[in-house]
Amino acid sequence: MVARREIVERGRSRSYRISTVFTVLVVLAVTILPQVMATSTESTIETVDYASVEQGEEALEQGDIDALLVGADDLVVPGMAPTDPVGLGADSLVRLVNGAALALRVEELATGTGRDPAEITALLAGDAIDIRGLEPSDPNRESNEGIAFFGLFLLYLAIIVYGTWNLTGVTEEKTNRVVEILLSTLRPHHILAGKVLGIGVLGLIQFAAIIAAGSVAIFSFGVFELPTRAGTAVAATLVWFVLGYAFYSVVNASLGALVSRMEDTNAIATPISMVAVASFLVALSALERPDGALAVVASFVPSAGPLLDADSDGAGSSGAVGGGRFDPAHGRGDLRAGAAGRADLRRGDPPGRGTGQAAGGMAVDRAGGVRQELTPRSAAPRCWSTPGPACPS
Amino acid sequence: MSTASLIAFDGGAAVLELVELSKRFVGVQALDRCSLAVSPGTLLGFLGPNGAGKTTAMRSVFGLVRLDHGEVRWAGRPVAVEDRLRFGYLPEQRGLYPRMRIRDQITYFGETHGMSRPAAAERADRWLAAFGLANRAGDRLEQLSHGNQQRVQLAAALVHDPDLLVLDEPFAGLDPVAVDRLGAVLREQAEAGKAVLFSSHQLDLVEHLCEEVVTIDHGRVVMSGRLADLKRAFPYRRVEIEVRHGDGAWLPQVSGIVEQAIDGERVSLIVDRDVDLGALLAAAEAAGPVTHFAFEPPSLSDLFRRAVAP
Repeated sequence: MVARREIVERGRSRSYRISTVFTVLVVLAVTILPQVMATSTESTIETVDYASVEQGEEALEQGDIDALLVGADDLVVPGMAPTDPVGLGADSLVRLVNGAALALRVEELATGTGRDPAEITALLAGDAIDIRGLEPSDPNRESNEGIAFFGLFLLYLAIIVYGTWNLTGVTEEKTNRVVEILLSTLRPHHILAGKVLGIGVLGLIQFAAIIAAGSVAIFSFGVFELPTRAGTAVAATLVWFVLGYAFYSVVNASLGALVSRMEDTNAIATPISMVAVASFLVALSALERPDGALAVVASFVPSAGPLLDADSDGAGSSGAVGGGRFDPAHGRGDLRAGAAGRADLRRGDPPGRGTGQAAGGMAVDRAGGVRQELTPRSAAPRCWSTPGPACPS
Repeated sequence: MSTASLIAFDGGAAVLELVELSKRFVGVQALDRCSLAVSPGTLLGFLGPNGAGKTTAMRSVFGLVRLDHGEVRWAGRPVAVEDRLRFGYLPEQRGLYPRMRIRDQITYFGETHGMSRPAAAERADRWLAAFGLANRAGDRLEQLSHGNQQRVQLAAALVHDPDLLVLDEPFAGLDPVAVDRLGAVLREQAEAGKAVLFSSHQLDLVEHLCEEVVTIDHGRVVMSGRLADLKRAFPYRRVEIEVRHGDGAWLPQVSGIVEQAIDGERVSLIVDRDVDLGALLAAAEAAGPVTHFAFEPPSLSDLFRRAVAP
């Protein structure tokens, strides 16, 4: 009875309908738009010759051309010169010209040395090592991780949003004193259960609409390959939604019963949100290492469990987040990277525990030194500090 | 009042009994061994100054107050949740969903009181029609005026045809026409055999509607019984005398005059019940032609003031 009222009244409300339609549209837009945009990434460069630099600069000022190349290595751009001309986010034209100039230089330098310019260009591109994982690689890894992250985020959002509906719903009933009449004939736990159930059903409908919209977009536009175990992941996400929602909504509703004025709900909502955000962050880091101690411990904490287990269902179990899986069964120290020459790349720590930063990786820079950088979810065994020139395959 | 005397004032068996209720909130004794009884077919006016404990007593009927002492009985037994399905409650601060359509809302409260949905909807329609709101049935509560919202609240209390009505300040904020209409509804309910308990500060209204009243102050019952009995037992009477061209100086030093107020030719007195009326009239006539002489029983207002006097 209470649940039905919630479903009918909230389902009928304009805000619920609008938010459902809006969220579905956002999901569709987020999935489809990049695909549509991606078709226009190819660009062609047209060149125009000018008699003098002045003429060229004038044309640049007029906006007739986008950039002016003077000689072989001077590029004039409109406005101020970029501070980081070739970095990420730099103007694509500048990068293209820079790349072409670089290739020319390499060719010049290589001429007469007997080296193949292509070899040098490849080296410059940073492909010094070939990387091979102990586990067979999953062609769907990227999409698995994408799904896991997307699922985790949706779950987090859903639990927060629908949980908050319970909070405001309970406070509203307290504020407008309806609860006085309800409590005269209904027991408090019946009201609570009805409310949680009713809002839960509505939430599930909205949630399902979002997932359906996402799936339709993925199928019809072929955004990415379906995860290896998509069905399991979706089913598991729904189960974790129910459990996570149940936990957060009951907490929300119970705490909501403590306040008697709408203004006080913020005081209640803040600690709950903080717990939820913390759980979300823990789950995010667990997405990197589903088998890590943090993930295992946190999955037993009610506030974080559903989020964590959902992401390991979505990603970990399908082998996507394989980066951190240094299986102890492979024996300690067997993580050598096929080191050649004097470089012993054996790791000092036993695998699988101790320094569990599965996502850490090493890259050897061209100067011959060793530089550590984070290469998230690298499936390759790592090099451990070595003075050697590289970690050849 | 002792437990043994909890027999309704008309001599019939009490249906609702509040037995020695005590409740202390931080720093305030809201109820202090407060007892009262409402029998079927009775309109009981529940009076008391602000903060006397009326609302606490009424809420306790619905289990909304954890009592320190005493119990609420229905038909001789402690009130159970099932009993409350037969109660109708109009809280002091109104309790309805602002954005819910009023017909749905009344139907919903019928359902929470154990009615089937179609039956509740049918009753909701009937009450909406009775209150002149049939054409607003599909409107949301917040679209209605205060008075109409009050009617919806009353319909929500009446929809399941309860045996007991507990109404906390049902007349507050109503216009005179609405007051008359509500008064008529309450009378009809009592005539149909329902027990009706309602609180109000509008004493003339209570005097007009009720045969019985209970007055509490500081959580204690200070006056209760049939209004006629209370008036009869009241030790004072009202006397009003008008003497043409009189200025009140004629007033004799008669014993038994408790209070006097002089307004031009008119003299208003509160006198002992057994004052010598003949002596009063004679003194007035000696002062000039008497144009008005009234000897009246006390009003409920007189009773109330005396009962809650510090």
